[in-house]
Order: sequence, then structure tokens, then C-alpha cells
Amino acid sequence: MGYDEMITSPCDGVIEQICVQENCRIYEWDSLFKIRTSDGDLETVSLGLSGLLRSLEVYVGEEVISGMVLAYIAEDLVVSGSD
Amino acid sequence: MNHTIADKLSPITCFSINSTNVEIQEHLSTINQPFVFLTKDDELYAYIYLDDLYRSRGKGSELTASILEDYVIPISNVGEWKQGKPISLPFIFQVLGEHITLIKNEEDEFIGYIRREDALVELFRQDNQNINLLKVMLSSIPMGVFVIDSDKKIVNCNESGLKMIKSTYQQIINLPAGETFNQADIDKAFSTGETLLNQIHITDDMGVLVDYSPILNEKKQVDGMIIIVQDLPMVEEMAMEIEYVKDLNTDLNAILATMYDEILVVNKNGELLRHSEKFIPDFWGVDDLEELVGKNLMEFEEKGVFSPSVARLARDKKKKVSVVQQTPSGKSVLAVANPIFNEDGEIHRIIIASRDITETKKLKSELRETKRLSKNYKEELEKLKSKDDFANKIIYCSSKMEQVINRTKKLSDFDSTVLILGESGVGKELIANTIHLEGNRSEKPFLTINCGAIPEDLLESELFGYTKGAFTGADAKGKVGYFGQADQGVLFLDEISELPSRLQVKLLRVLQEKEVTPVGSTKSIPVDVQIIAATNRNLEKMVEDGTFREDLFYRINVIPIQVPPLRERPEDVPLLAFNFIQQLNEKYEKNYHLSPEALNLLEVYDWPGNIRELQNLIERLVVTADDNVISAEFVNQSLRFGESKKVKPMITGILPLQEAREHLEEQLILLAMKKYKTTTKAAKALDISQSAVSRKYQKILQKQEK
Repeated sequence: MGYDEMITSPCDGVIEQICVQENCRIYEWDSLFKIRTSDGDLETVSLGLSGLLRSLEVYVGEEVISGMVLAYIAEDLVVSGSD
Repeated sequence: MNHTIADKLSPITCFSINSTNVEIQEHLSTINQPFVFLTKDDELYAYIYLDDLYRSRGKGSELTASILEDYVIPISNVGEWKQGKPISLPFIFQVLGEHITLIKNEEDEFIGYIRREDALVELFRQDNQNINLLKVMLSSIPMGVFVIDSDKKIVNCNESGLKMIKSTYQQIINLPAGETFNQADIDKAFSTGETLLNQIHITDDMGVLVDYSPILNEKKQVDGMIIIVQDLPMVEEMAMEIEYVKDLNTDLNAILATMYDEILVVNKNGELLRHSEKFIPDFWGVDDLEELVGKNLMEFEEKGVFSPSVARLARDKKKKVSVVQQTPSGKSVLAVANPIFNEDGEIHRIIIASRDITETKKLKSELRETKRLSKNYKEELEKLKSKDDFANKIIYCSSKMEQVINRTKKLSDFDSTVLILGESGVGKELIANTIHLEGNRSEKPFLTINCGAIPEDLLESELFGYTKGAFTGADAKGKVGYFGQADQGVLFLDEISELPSRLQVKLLRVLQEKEVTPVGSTKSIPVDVQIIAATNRNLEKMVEDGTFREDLFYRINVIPIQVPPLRERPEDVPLLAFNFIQQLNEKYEKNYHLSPEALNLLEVYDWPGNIRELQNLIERLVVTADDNVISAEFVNQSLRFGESKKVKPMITGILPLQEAREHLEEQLILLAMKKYKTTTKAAKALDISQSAVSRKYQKILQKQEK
């Protein structure tokens, strides 16, 4: 556990889709997870940063709660994307 | 056989166990020995201690074979003492263990028995090392043994014990045991009659582990004491091992504390078993985690101390779970729970490692904000920079300038010496700058020196540098010249024509040998500098006149670039004028612009000062204009076309008369042609023949074509 950035679940629900893989690069605009909330809505999780996805902490179908860590990311020090 | 044994020897009286009860009674009544022997199938197999029998049964009572069976002692247990055989220590113990010892003759036949006390007396009487029973026994024990009497004095001990307490037999025997061992422990054992085990006794001379074991008599009174002593190195080893484990524990705690802010071990129910020394303050609402040992941590979630409980999640999911926990006070803690399974695959323990990320989170968001800001600043800077670029950009639309620029771009890939020719104010330095920026030396320095602006002596030291003490007033440390400073880069020598002839030689040497010799030095320093020279003078003419060295001219005239004067490319004038006016507008936040007529007027002007003059004029116009639209009339006032005819041309610098004449003539013809368009009208204005105008104009055009 370093000082990585982490992606936490914004809501309670079930992981419906994981759009990324471990050790792959992610960018500011990437959708990372899709969570089916208890209300039945599909919540898309994305993060406004780019970096290397170090580890996935959840699997498809797993029940998650708000605040649960979904993945750890080694954040890029420079902004890779542009506005 | 020994005489003494023979004295004590009793005959073996025996009868068969298979005898009838009457026979048994008869046998017994005739025996006057304390022991009677039994046979079975004519073999001696057991004996009976009659004292025992009569004590429990009563003498004269009716005894049957089956009753006797209860009292028989097999003779296999009884020691057999055969004359002439050496006596071993175990034999002595055998003697000690039984009432009697059987004696055999040399033919291996039983000849009788002797009682235990007689056997022992005989054994001790014999002068035999092995028979020093107690001594042998004590020395056989790998521990120290001290025998204490009822007066608490040491009465006996073994060798091991003496070694351990580093003393001798003579020194300690009959000494109070309290002088060697712990008096309080001895007293305690004496008074209570209880054994004291594992008492560590350390003095300057020894370190031992002591057991105090009281000897009790039949009345359960303490009659003496056995002190068993064990060497402490063994104990020390164990203690060291414990110390090592303790150290390891401390180290582990320290390691864990640096990796995490808090580590907890809970059982499958969520009850806290262990915890790291370090813990996250203000999270659990306790001063010490020790208070929580044995408590169920999941209950804290229910109480609302924080949420969610990572232990519960890990237990339910049976896998590693990471969660950001929030407390009502706004603390954020990243908790990672790792379940540990037993052999049956059930959760045995859950390890929770937590880190306080409140500060990190805050810093991260601050960092993100700073990043966003610096990105904005960077963009702003880029904008400003590109503005600057714009100011330094060569602006043109004429084909003549395009040719010049194309040539410039081509040659910028090479390190060749370049000679830029052109009138004053045409932008020779800008061209030199472009060569530097476009070329492969763009990361290296670009230095400019105006050869006409610095006195000769100073110019030499400026260009080539000097060593310390080269001349009065020089920097004491010496100085690296322009050539040295521009090493790997580009040196722009403006107004090369003004270079004194002595320095022309020195420059030639630099160009040829690629090394400089600083003033006052005899050593040459190698340099790698691209030279760009520029002049507004006719160097060829100067060579002819002998004022410029021919060899230097050819050396610098490798790639000549002729920058045309502005009057030869009037189409660039509006573009440049527009550009300058825009720069000023941006600088002063104004909105000036030139009327089309005004632009036309600028186009026909002669621009002897070239672009520099145009730039200055525009600034003058903007500063003095009353209206946003700068009219032709206003421009005309500044240019003073009308007056220019009447005003005599002014030359501000000394130049050869012929050159000045040619220059003036050229300007007059071009000006007239631009204004009147036809040679006839121009001839009239210039007051010369039409054919002369035509001829001269053609010549000028041809020269420009070149």
C-alpha cells in the first residue's frame, strides 16, 4: 500500500462491469467501473486523472458499498490528456 | 567366600507352592527364619517376608497357597551376589531395593542369602571406588546437588555443583547454605516444607537456576534439604531467545508502524486480539487500544463511531477488502482487511491495516488545484511567448523575401559561415536569429556583437577574451571572449565591415583554424562556433579599396544572403504596417488602424531606413493620432513627401562618395518611378532625360533581380 490514488465506490450496489484491467493505463476520460445501484440505476465510475492501474480490488458481480476501494492507481505526475 | 558374609549367611529354606494347606502350615511352623522360599516344579521362584505376612495375617492364622500367593516376591528381582564378580553400581541399587541378596558359590549354586543391611555393610566395608555410593550417584547427575542438614549447613555435594558455584569441597562443606545460596529461599523451604523451583540466583561469581527441595521425615518435618543447581548459560540461552523474540516483536512493531498507522488482529467474530503500538488517534474514541482488546470492533460501526466496518466486510466476503472509513469528525481512514483462513478454510483471523488519509486527501486535492493553476499559468505563458515570437517573426509576402527565407531555412541545417548583406534596418539580425533558431544549434547560445560599436582594443578582448593580468583594468580572473561563450553556438558579427584590419587577421585565423587565442595568452583554445556576419556596406568594393581583407571576405562570403530593402518589396509594407500597429494596439489596448489611402501612401514611400523606419513611423503615428483611423493626410504629414523634394538629402555617416552617389541616384529614380509610374514623368521630376531615367531604372531593376 503506497501513496497511490484509489478509486472508491460512490454508491452501494453490485459491480456490473469492469472496463479496465490490472497494469493497464487509464486516462482522465475513461469509464472504469459500472455499478448497478440498489435503486436499479447504472452508475459509471470514472476518475479525473491518468495513471497506471495497479490493482483491482473487486470482481464483476461483487456487492460493494459506498467508500469501498475498487482499485489502486499510480497517478501520473504530469497531465497526459488535454482539455 | 568372604568370612564376614559367611557369618551372616542364612540357609535357604523352601517348600513347594503346590503343597497342601496342611503341609504349608507344617512348613511354616517349623521355620525360624524371617524369609521362606517357594519352589514351583522344583525351581526356586519366589520368597515370602514372613514379618510382612504375620503383620497383616497374624501369626498362627490359617494360611493357604492362595493367600501366600499374595505375599510372594519373585526372586528374579533379588540381587545375586556371586563371589569373585565385580560389583556394579546398579547392583548396589538392586541390593537396596530388596530385603535380601542371594549368594551363589563359584559353581553358580545358591548357597544361602544375606539380609539387605548385612549386604550393604559388607559392600561399604569393601575398599572399592565404585562402592562410594553417594559420591557416584551424585557425580552421575549432570546437575549440581547439595545436601543440607537440619542446621542448614552443606554436608555433601557433587562435582557438577562445585563447578557451577566455582568453589571447592573444602571451602563449602559445613558452611551455612545461606552463604552460598539464597537465605530467604532456604528459610522459606524449611518453614513451609514446600519445594521452590527455578529460583534464579545471580552473584558476581555465578549465575545459576536453583531448586530448593526439603527432605521430610516420617513426621513430615523438614529434616534437611536437597538443593539442585542448574547452570545458567542454558537458562541464559533460553532467556536470550526470549529476548530475541521480544526484540523481533519490537522490530516488527516498528516496521508495521512505519508502513501503517495502525494494525489490528481480530478473530472471526471481530473481537480485537492484538494491536500495533501505534494507532490512529481520535478514531476509536479511546486513549489506548489496549482498552479495546476483547471487544467486538463491528459494534463500533453500529454505534456510529465510524462506517463501514472493514472486518465485517472481510468476514462476509471472505476476501481482502479495502474501504475508506469516515468518522463523524471528518477523519478519513483507509482500512485494508485481510482474512486468514485455517486448515478447514474457515476464517481464523482478520488483519486490519489502517492508514489515516485525512491529510493525504487534503493535500491531494490541494495538489490537484495547484496542478490546475499551473496548467493555466503555463497556457498563459505560452500565449505570451507566442506573442513574443510574433514580434520576432519575419513578416513578408513578397517573393523576394520568400526567396531569402527559403534560403535561410535551407542553410540553417549547416554550420557554414553566412554573410548577410542589406541596408540598415532590413532585419539582418532577425535573419541571423532565424538561422540560429531553425538550425541544429538552437539549444546553444546565440551572441551578437556590433563590430562598429566597440573601440578596437576593447573589441579584441571582447571577441577573443583575455588571460589574467593581460592589461591594466582587466578583470583579475581573465575573461572568456564572445567566441568562447558562443562555443557550440552561433556568433553574429554585425557590421563586420567595421572590423579593424588587425582583428580581421585574427578573425580569419579563428575561421581557418577553429581556435582562439585570448589577449595575453600564447595558448590557443579550440572553439566550435558558427559565424554569421552582416554588413550594410559593399564589401567587394571595400576589398577593392583595400579596406577589407580579401582573404577574410572570401572566408566569410561562403553563403551570402542579400536582404532586399523595403522599397524593393513595397507589397510587404502594408503587412508590416498592419503588424506593427497591431502590436501597439495590443500593448496599449487601443484600436488604431490605417485607412486604405494611408496604406497606399506608405507603399510608395522610399523607406531609406527600411523596416526600422516603418516601425518607428507607425509608433509615431499611433502616439500622435487623434482618431482611431489613421488617415492618408496624417501619414503624409509625418512622411513629408512634399518637403522631401525641397529638403536636401542628409547623410549621417561617412561613406565613399561614389557609393553615396549611386545610392542616392538609385533612391531618386525608384522614388520617382514609384510616384509617377512612367519614365517620362519621372524624368521630368528629376530633371534629366527620359532615356537616362529608363537606362538607370533598368540597371536598378537588374541589380535587384540579382
